Amino acid sequence: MNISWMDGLDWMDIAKACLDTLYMLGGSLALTVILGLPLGVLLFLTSRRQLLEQPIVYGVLSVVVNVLRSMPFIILLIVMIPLTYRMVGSSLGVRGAIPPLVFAATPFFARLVEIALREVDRGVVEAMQATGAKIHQIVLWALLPEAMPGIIAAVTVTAIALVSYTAMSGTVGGGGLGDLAIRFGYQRFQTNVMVVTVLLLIIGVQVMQMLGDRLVLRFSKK
Amino acid sequence: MIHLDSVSKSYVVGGQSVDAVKKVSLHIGPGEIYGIVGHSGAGKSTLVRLINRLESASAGKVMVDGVDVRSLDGDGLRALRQRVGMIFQHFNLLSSRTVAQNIAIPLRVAGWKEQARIDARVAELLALVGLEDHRDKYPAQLSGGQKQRVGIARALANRPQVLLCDEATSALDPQTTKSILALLKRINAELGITMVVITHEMDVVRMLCDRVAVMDGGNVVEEGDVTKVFLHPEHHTTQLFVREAEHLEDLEEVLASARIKGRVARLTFVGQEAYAPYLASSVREYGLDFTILAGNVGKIKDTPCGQLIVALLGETASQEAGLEHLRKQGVTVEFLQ
Repeated sequence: MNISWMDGLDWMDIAKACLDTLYMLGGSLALTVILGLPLGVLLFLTSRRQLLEQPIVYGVLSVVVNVLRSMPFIILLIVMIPLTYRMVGSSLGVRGAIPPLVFAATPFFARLVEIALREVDRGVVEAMQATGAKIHQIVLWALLPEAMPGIIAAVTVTAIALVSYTAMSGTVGGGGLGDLAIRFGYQRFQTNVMVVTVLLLIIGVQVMQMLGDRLVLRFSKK
Repeated sequence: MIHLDSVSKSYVVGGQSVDAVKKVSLHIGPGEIYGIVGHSGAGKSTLVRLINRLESASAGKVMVDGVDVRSLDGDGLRALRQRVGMIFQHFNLLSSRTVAQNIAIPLRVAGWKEQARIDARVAELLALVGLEDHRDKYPAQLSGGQKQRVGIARALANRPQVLLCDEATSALDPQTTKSILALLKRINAELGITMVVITHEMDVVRMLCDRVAVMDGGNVVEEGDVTKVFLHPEHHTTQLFVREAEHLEDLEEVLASARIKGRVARLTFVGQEAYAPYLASSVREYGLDFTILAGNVGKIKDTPCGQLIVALLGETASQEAGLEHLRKQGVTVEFLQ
């Protein structure tokens, strides 16, 4: 192997950065799904011609979601520093990165869930209503299972968006592969570090997309 | 069982009020199969949804088995819906659930918890609709007819008193349509369940229904026993529907192309006389001479019936004698020309 190409490549650093990225990704993705799924369901149910049609509630939720989505992540990251500090006791490192990641990804994911639910045949909901089902039964037994392939696709897309967000959180001391690429690859002109981190990110994204596609297929009975 | 009293339903579309159902009154007895026929947009799908309040009536009274549907609260409405099953044109099954799981949904809605009990009831229903071998398949693996059978099993799960059928056979081929109609007929006979059948196909009414209402533009324009409506349609819309079903669309054209100058009569036979040789005897004994222009012999639900359109030939006296003989045997004679 070419020794000079390997110069200054600290594999321990890279391994630690990988783990940090995985932590940030796993933590923020889990929280995003936990918060975004109910939000998406609520958006769907309160929208026009749906079971809980509530124009005012839908309007307010929609505006909040749009505001958060229109804010560039790097700005959100900085704006949120005081809030992040309050929530997790630090605005640095893996822990400090998670709140802004969740804030950025939840509205995005909720919108995708809303879209996936819209794809469910209205007739199926009507058939559920005709059996005398309550709204929570319609959501849990019909809407979510029927929309499951779309929701899994939404989780995949959100996870991949989160990977690129974690890189940005590196700029405010978030840690992870993005942080490594910026500090060593960009600021110290270590092209090899840049190449390795980018390659690792590409592989990670590919693996996630493949896993996601496979799960979608598994849940798709159409 | 079901009483509608001047029921209306209007929607607001783009700031304008549209009347989908206009002051309709219908009374459907227990165990009856009641057809509602009309073109798309006639208001029949809206009308049937007023019965289980998937749509709320704007005015009038809707009574189902003594319950005032419009005054029910949430719990009352859900309880009513468990007693009123519904099947749909596009089946509306859960694609992510197996046949057995689809059928079990109304049971779980009704609060059934014990899996063994649910399984036993599902097995009964599968046997009723003839799908024992398809219990663990997904809807996508079934044919249209099989999907509708699952729909029927699901609708019957909670032993409802009423079954609403919204264009239940409109997405099926003629052969499958027949088997589904036969199934519905059998279920009506075995379980005594009241059925409301929405359709745009007069053939469905002919094979299945006891009574029928014809809808046009939100109004019921004609109503009565199926044999009466079929054999003596009064309203123009009904006549169009019946002709379509009898494949007699262009009677005027037949008359014109056959260049008939004399009288043209429509002979209607109902009941066993449809099979008796009255026409032959009136030829033999009274010298009636005629030529058949169009005709139909078959059954309306379980009643044999036939209708022939004949151009009368020969002496007026022998025509009259022959027709008189037919009238005496209970054949209805009407002159079209």
